[in-house]
Amino acid sequence: MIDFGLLKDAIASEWTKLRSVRSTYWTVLAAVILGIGLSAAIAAAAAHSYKDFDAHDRVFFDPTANSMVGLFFGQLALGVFGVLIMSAEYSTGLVRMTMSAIPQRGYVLAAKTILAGVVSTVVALVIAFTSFNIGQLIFSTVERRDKFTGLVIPGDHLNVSLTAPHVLRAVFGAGFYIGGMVLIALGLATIIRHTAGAITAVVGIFFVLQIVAQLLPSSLQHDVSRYLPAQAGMALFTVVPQGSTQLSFVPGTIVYFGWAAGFLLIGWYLLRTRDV
Amino acid sequence: MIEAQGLTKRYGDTVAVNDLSFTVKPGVVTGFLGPNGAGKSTTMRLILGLDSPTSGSVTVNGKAYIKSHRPLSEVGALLEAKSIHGGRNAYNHLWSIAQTNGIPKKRVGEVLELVGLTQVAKKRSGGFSLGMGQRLGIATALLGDPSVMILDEPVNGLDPEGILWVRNLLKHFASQGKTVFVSSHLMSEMALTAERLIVIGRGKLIADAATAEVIRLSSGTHVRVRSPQAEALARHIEDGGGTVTIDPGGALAVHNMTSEQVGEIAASNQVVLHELSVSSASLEQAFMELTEESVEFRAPSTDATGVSQ
Repeated sequence: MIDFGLLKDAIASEWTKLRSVRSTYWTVLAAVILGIGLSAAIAAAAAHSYKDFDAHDRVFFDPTANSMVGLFFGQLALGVFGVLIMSAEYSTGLVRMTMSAIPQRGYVLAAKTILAGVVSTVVALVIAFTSFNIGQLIFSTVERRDKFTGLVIPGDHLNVSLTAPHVLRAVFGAGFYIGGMVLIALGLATIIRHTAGAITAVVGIFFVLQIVAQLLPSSLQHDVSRYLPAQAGMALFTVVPQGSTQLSFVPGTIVYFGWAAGFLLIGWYLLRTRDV
Repeated sequence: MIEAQGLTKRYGDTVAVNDLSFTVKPGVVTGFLGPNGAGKSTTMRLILGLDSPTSGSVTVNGKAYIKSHRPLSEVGALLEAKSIHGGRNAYNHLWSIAQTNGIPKKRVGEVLELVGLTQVAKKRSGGFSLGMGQRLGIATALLGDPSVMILDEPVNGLDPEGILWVRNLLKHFASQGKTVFVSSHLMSEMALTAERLIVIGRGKLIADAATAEVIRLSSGTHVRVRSPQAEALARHIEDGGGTVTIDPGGALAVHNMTSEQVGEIAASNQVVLHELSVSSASLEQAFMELTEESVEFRAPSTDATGVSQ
């Protein structure tokens, strides 16, 4: 039986904690500046070099995903946000107060999960929609070329509209991708209980693991790496699939949030059984 | 009421708390004494369900703490000073904890007033002194107006005025019928504050008695007698079963005998007395005797020069 009254109070408490420390504002601000700023810069660079693309690049060019690339950098700041929500409890010693105020420790993690997920998804959606609109404005200045011949198609531009198939889903998906990453960060911080260690783990899982997977024999490589969080999560914001190895939207989303749920469940188990 | 039954906590090979059984009763301040590393803080964490015991159990008001629901109105605790996020101000710190237990906002202002932190309530707590951190910790413990208070070293870092304030506060709570369990390494402070003492060493129970009793049973407590016929008196006392040592000032220190017995021996032998008084040991002395065998960390004694012969 879930005690919703206790959950509501735990969320209220965590919300007070979240808005009363500067790190919240700094990480969110950094994510917004990095996310929107770099998205615009990268979209501009892509628009500039479009005329030099070969047929392969033109086939796989995704104006939606390419307008939000800055989110990959902004996600680092939000990843730190997700880590700190839990790890700051341990670094300050506050955790003993928190867990003696709510002996049902799972509710503390549940409240943090809900808040971290909602706040980071909202922030990421703002970044995603802003970046998308700036990116399309930039792409609207570039004339599209025929995928195979490379000849300019008069009157057709690179930009896409939110009403085009899968585009709205992809922009929302980008926001939820970041939300999922923050939950993975929170889960890792709950397991590791240490700020630097948890940030290292987040970077390891989202960046290093992809590189390690490339060391596998090529027969295994795609079967493994498509299920890793960063690869699987790409399905959320992809309109033009990047090759046959990428998971499509539904399985990609399930695998990605499966990772988040897995880390949170391990964290939840350890939080309930370990000494504080 | 706090009841521990065979409470044991092992960390790997280290036994932090070893088969500890005790009861902390309401209505009196109970002091929790022990040398560094004796297991005081571990015991307090076990009481609050933060650590789970290897074996045995401990209950607060008859139930395990982790089974309690919104426990702050029942139990208030101060575990370590400054276990607060330095970037958060005192007001928000208290308010966030109050919210977990449905404690109204106005109570936050009340406890801030009570501990004297109203003026700095909106300042980042990272700039607080150790003493202010302790006051904030005490405010946290008071939030739910609990019937049981568990305080780990609450006077650590407080100035004399703050120490006096804590002492009076704890006595006041005890007089209201609340259970007050307070650890300290300041013996003199405990002698003034606590009516009962639980003394542990190396995780084991050494004493569980009234403070006055602990002091009375100490070998430091003795009858002091001055007399022009000191030698004769000493012989008579020893014949009567007492032990006598002569201090440098020439006064006799009599152990194993009450002042009444000494007075009667003097009278029946017609010895003139210039002074007859009871000299109480300090709690510090009593404590040192009790824990002599169980000190975890000890500096080499000063006469051991370390020069091999």
